Amino acid sequence: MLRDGAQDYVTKPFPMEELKARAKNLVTMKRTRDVLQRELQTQLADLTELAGELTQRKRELQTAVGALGVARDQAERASQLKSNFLSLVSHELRSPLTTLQLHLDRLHRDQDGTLTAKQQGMLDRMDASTKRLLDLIESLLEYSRIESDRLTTALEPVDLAALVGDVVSELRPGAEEKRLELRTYLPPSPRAAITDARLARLILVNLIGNAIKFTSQGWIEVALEQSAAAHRLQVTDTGPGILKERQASIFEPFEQAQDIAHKHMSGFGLGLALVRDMTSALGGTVEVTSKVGEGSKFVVTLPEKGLAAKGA
Amino acid sequence: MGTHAPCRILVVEDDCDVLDAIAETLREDGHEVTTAENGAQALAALGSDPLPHVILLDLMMPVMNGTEFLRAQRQDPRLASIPVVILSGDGAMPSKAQALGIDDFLTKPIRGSALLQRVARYC
Repeated sequence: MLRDGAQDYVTKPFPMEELKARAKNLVTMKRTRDVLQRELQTQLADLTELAGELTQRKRELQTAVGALGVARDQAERASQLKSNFLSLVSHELRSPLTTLQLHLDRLHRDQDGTLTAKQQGMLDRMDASTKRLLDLIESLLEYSRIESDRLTTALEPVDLAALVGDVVSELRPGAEEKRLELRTYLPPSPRAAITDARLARLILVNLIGNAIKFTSQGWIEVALEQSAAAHRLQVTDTGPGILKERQASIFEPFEQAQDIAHKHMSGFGLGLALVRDMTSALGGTVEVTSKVGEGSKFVVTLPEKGLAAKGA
Repeated sequence: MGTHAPCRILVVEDDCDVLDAIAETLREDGHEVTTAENGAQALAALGSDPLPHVILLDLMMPVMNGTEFLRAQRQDPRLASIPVVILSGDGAMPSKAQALGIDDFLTKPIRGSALLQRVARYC
């Protein structure tokens, strides 16, 4: 009978009490079922609403993901364009620099022997400026490579002592013009470092160039110390010094601009950011110690074997 | 005048100012210089004897660039053995030189002394 759809049944003959009890049961059950049904309907409506909201959210997310993809593609394209632009600019700038350099060198050779000491001095300064211009271009290019993660290092044995000598004689005219003493301390029997000559050179150019730029009197000392595990390049100056609270942030790019705006003291541009990034690409570290009014000392520590410290 | 044997040199460079500066530097040192402003002119210049001891070659040039010139030069048995020094404005030249099968290059801006020393290797 239950199989035929009845809710309950009693077998005749049945006591009235039994029937009443069963009827009451059925009524209670129906009420409960009604309550549950309403509850279910409410929940179903809630779920439907929620599902609608989810669909809407999903659509919004898909749109956002699409927009992000477009933005990422645009950013990548912009970065690529910037890199291409910089490399093109660098190529374009090198041609007139080559012309300038070659004619300067021809004048320097002075085959007619007619140059006066004054003219020779002017040539020396033109020479120094040409080199500075080239160093600036190189630095800018390296910075763009670092920014786009395209910095590559070519490790080879590098005679750091000879490199220090080269950079110092390259920058000496600038120091002499400001009547600064520029001295070097090199180990008596220097050892070659396994590193990237181009990057090591740019690190020195930037550190020594900064020291000359910001020191108005006194001396600049460039020292190379070598231990079994590391090569330490130190550039010390008697410049204005750097406030303690500023010493950490000077390695951030374009700190110089902020500094010049706020206080007329020891500002730096891209140079130190580049030094930090190039040093780290070589597996090394750069540290500064400085006292306002006394001077600054930058220490670059390069590992004995290239990037071994970084496991690259 | 230089203190070495004079050398026949072909300079291929599209920037006339650079070309002149290189040619004048080399001539002042006693070398015999032929110039070309692109790869096609360079091949034409190589059409008649005597052949140069060395070719100084820029890579980025119109009409026929340095890479195309190198390919043509290597396919010609008469020209293939002439040494080529790349004149490059690219700081990443060492890695590119390997790809081109070239082991000698000068990075711009070129110093006069470096130019003369390099050329002397091939005289």
